Amino acid sequence: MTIDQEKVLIESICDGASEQYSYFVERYHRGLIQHVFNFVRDGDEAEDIAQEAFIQAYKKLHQYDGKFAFSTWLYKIADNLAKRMTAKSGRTASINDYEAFIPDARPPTEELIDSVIGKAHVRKAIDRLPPDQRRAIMMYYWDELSYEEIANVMKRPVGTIRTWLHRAKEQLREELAYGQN
Amino acid sequence: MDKIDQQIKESVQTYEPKQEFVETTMQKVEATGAPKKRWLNWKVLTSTAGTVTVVAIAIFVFVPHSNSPTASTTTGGSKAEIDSQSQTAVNAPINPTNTTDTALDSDLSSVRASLTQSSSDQSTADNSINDNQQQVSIPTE
Repeated sequence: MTIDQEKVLIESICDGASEQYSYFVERYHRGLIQHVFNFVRDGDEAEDIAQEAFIQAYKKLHQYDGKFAFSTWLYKIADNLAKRMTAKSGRTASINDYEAFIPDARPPTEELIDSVIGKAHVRKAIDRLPPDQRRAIMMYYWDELSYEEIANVMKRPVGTIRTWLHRAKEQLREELAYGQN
Repeated sequence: MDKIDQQIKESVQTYEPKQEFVETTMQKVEATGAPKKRWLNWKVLTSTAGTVTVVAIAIFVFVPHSNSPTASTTTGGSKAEIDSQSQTAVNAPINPTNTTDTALDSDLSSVRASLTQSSSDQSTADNSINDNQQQVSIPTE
């Protein structure tokens, strides 16, 4: 469904066809939960925030202006909620997920362990980035948003996002090269 | 895409949401009731209020007031309208049998009758005085 088709659907929901909102929940819940999970690193909390974001978006559906995709608007709402919740709890995202990467009780192979450790190592390096650069990296690589969409979610110019991504990549390159030596 | 891009991309830790997420979310969404109508949008409201204000100011500025020298104090019309009405009245033919003239004629007849009566009364009074004068006798020395 294109942005214009989604706008028509939103008009219809605003006119009372609330059951049609399930299209948006069905389509975007995985991506949104993953997006929030990247930020808070807790599955239950990510689902709670994503659910609240869907409800907030529904209540304020009349404010959606259609300049960007509905998903971008939804991510922005979820981001604000996640920031508010983490600020309230005073908790910062941390990585302690070696075990979470092992899919079942079977003895892990050496290759799998290397892969798990390697990925966790990269994520730790990402966690050490300045908060704005970290969020930009997550949205660009993990949520696969464009520069323009990230700029819209983070309310920053596209040039700033480009600079943050460049600096973040340079820092990660240095850290990961250092870690491998 | 170079190696660092690949490493970052692959480092994502995927999370599988609970199966009931969509159902429970929709239940909560429907429990909140219908979303606000577009006309309740604050932007729309302020825009409408702005338009109404501009129209009100325009009416205030461009429509003449009742005490304006360009308007009649009784009808409130524009100068052009008043000029037009005056010209029509001047050009209108005079109707000699209008009700006002009839009323005036009637009043005039009443006044004449009243004057005639007064004149008659005066004559009666004069006669009475003459009679009295004749009856007064002035003693002579």
